[in-house]
Amino acid sequence: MTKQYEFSSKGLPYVLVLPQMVIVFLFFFWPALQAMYQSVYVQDAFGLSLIFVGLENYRKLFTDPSYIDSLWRSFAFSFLVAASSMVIALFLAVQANRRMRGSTFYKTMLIWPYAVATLVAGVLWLFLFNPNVGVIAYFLKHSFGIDWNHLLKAGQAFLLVTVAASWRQISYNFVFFLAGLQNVPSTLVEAAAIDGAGPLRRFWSIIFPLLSPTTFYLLVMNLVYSFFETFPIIHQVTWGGPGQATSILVYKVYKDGVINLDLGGSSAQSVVLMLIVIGLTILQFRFIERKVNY
Amino acid sequence: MFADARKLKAAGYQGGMTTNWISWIQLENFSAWHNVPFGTKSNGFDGLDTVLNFNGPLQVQHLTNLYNLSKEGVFIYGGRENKANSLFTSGQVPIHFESIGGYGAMKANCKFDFGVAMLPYYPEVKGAPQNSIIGGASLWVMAKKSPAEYKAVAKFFTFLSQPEIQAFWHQNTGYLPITQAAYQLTKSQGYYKDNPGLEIAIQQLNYKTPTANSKGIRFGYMPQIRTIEDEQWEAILDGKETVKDGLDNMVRLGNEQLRQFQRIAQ
Repeated sequence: MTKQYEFSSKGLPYVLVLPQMVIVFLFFFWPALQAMYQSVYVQDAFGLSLIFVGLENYRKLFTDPSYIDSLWRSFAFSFLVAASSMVIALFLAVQANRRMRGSTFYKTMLIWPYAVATLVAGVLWLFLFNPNVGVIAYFLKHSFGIDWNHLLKAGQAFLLVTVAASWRQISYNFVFFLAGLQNVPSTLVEAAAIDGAGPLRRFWSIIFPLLSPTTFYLLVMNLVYSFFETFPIIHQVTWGGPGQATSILVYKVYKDGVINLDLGGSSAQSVVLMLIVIGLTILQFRFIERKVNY
Repeated sequence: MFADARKLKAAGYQGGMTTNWISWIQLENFSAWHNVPFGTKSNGFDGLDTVLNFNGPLQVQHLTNLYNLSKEGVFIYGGRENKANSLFTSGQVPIHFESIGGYGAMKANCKFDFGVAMLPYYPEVKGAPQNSIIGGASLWVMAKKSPAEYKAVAKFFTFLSQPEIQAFWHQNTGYLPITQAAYQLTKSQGYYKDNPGLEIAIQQLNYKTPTANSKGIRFGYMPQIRTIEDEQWEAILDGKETVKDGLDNMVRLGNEQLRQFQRIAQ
């Protein structure tokens, strides 16, 4: 039973929302507009010369094979990170939701990684897997005979950043899945059990559909996370290498803009990335939301 | 030196040698130290239509040597830029190539004594060793300012280049002094007795009068070119390309960057 609140003053809602809107404007809209503006110019590193080039920066992007590679790689990376972190989190949430000894302990421990900043998580994994001084790398080499060298082997580098990126996100998803699971009325599940449904059937036919709002929300959030917030991990752990094996779109924007000072090209990449993520989100809202049972 | 590296590895170290900055140390400075060009037009000083040409036989031979050493496990790749420092400071790899600017950090982090030496060279190359190129931050003066501002800039530069100021700057930051007078002043203060490595760096920079191949380099989009060199070197080490192909790729992709820069800067 929710009460509908009515504001007597017509202007009050706008005033209340205004501070947040100022922040959104300053930190989201304005930079996005700047990026779109700069993407149609080519300028030198000091900003002293500005040549209008129309859509040439974009044309250059899409005829550059390394950018197309980066596009596919970013999609692969993002979907892998989103999928793995959601699946693992769901599994853990289902297990942690059971009544058992130490469940509070497990739940607390599973939530902690989210408190670790992405950059710190990247550094942690870097130390663990450093081919020369890392503990896990040493263990892999001496117990399994795997020559771990993510500085030179592209597949291993990609695996490492995927694991580092998913690790943290698992906690985030875990919290939401756990809350969602606890919202499933136990009477439904018990009724199904009485009717003879096994645990798997109970899960897929009852629990999972009722979890769908949570799953949908997490899918959107995870994809946005994996496209943008994984930057610190790439920056700290592999710097886009070896070669360009882990050079995802957001890292390329940084490299070309801040390091290489190619502001026009970097802005164009930034705009493309923004459009991709907006497009993905719209797609999700249009098609997947229909399947969500609220 | 390669023989020593092999011996050290045989003696039980994790590896024999490693290096920072494959681009700046093992290609740019390598070329200057052996008096071979890195690019045409005096390494770019004489015009924007310069072309990279560091894929010559000497550089191919050098990188092939490093590649073979890496197959033997003697050369260990530590990562781009200065990420290989941890290999040296942890005592795993006893020979390391690094900028003298990292001397202070090394002294602080190394729990063992270490020596500083000049860059090695291939003795059969005529003219080697020549002199090395300095690297590091610079002060830039921008065009189109007022005369009064330029007067202030001149005064500031005069102040900075006084021997006492330079000596102070040099001793407290690890940056090298920019004038002979400052160098002599520091020497007379006995600074180099406690820090011999810094003097070796200065001597290496001044080893001989610079030629067109060793005055320095001036290339547009240098960060991109160095990244290309890093990426190709990683592909070479991983066995994905031969050394010759890798160097040719570096030059080819680097030249694309140069042409783009030329278009914008002209």
